[in-house]
Parts: sequence; structure tokens; C-alpha cells
Amino acid sequence: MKGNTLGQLRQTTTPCFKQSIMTAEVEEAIKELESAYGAQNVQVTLDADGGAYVIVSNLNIGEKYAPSVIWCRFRVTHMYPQAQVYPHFVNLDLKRTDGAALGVGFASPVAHNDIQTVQVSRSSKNWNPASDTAQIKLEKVLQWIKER
Amino acid sequence: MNTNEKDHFESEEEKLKQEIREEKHEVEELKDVLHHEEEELHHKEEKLDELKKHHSVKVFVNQQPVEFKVHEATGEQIKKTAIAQDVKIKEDFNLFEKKDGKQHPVGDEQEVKLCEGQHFRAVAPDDNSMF
Repeated sequence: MKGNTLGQLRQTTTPCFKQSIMTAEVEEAIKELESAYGAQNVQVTLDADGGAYVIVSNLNIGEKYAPSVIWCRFRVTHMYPQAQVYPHFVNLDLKRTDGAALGVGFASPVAHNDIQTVQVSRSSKNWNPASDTAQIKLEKVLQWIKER
Repeated sequence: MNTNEKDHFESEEEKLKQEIREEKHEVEELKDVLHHEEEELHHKEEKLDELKKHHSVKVFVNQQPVEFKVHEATGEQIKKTAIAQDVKIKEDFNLFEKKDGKQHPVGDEQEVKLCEGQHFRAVAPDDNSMF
């Protein structure tokens, strides 16, 4: 995977002190997320391989849940878009307002980068690098949560 | 009431009656103009509908062109039309419309206005299984 000029602008030192440059494809995914949710709501930390850990904030999932506005964390690996974006992690305190359990597809507590979260396991077995994107995947995850 | 007051009253009365007649006449004229404009608008709307019937709209589903004869369709209709025009997707795929820099989900029953050059994405649904 190659790094591009924009990717080099995000060059940083990762938590394991290894220099990393985001791949062009991951950079594109980040730009798409920033365009969709607002750059102020998208927090990016490079991983050691050219991918990125992403946190998208201020996501509204409706009154079926408390909190109804959540963040969602996930990793876009250097294999993107050949590899799907999976899994996703949301607020540990996420509860259904009707008192029911979150149910199949959710698991908690699960640590993601030392943060305790609820893991949302929605796998895209038929992920198509030509049409699937990190933003579309996030929308599918949010839509699925809303419709539960 | 003395004679002067009576004359003044009659003169005012006649003046107001005249103004009312003139206003009524103006209203009638405006009604005619409105009626004419409404007829013209109706005629133009009919002409536009007729034009639309003969003018197809080309949108893109997964970057492939798809022609529509209608200007509004549900998510399900968009997918079915795309499949009929050889786009390699399935009816159970999730549909998204690119709008304002974001891919927005489009439900099967949801109506969407179709515009020339509009972009849609259709992707396979997810499941709960592990990786």
C-alpha cells in the first residue's frame, strides 16, 4: 500500500513509537467520514501499519437507546478497502430504554485501545472493495442498531 | 340634520359608493387575470408532464449507468431497475444515495426523486456472525 501526500500530512508517531503513514485508501476513507459527519466529529489516530483508529462522535441512534447520541470506534486497517471494517465499538453504558437486553450482535464489556466498550459485531461477508466504504459500513451498523 | 350636513352626507355617500364600484371592478379584473394565469400554469404543467414521459433520467448505481423513465422511484424500484440493466447487485442489498458528501441509506419503501447524474451505492447486507 502506498502513502500519498495527504497521508504524509497525517504522519505521526503511533503509541508503539513506530513511524507510520496512512495509506492513500485509508486517507480517502477518513476524508469520506469527515465529509459525512463533520471533521470535528471524527478523531483519527494512526496505527503502526498505515491504517487508522477512528472515533466518530455525535451519532444519533434514536430514543430506543440511552444514551441516544453515541460515539463509535473502529479500525480502518492498511488492507482497506480490500478488507472490511469490522468490528465497531460503542459506549459501554449503552442501554435499551425498554429495559430489554441489547441482544445478539452486541458484546460487552470489550476493551478497544484500553477503553471499555460494547462491541457491535456486524460482519460484511460479501464486502466489495469497489462499492463498500467505511462510511457506508458505519451507516449500516447505525441503521441496524436503530432497527433493533 | 341641517341642509348643509345633509348635502355633505350625500356627497360622501356617493363618493364611497363610487369607490366601492371601482374596487369591485378592479377585483373582477384581477380575478380574470388570475383565472387566465391559472389556465396558463395548468397548461404548462401538462406540457412538463408530457415532456417528462418522453425524457428518461440517467443515474448511477455502483458507478454503472441506469436509465429510468420515471422521475421518482422507491429504493426497491431503483435496485430492481439496476438489476434489469445488468448491475451486479441483489434485491436484498442495502441502497445508499450520495447527497451532501454523505451516503444516506434508502429504504425499500422510501421514495426518492431521481435527478440526472445522481449516484447510488448498493452493497450486500451484513450479518451477526464473527469475522
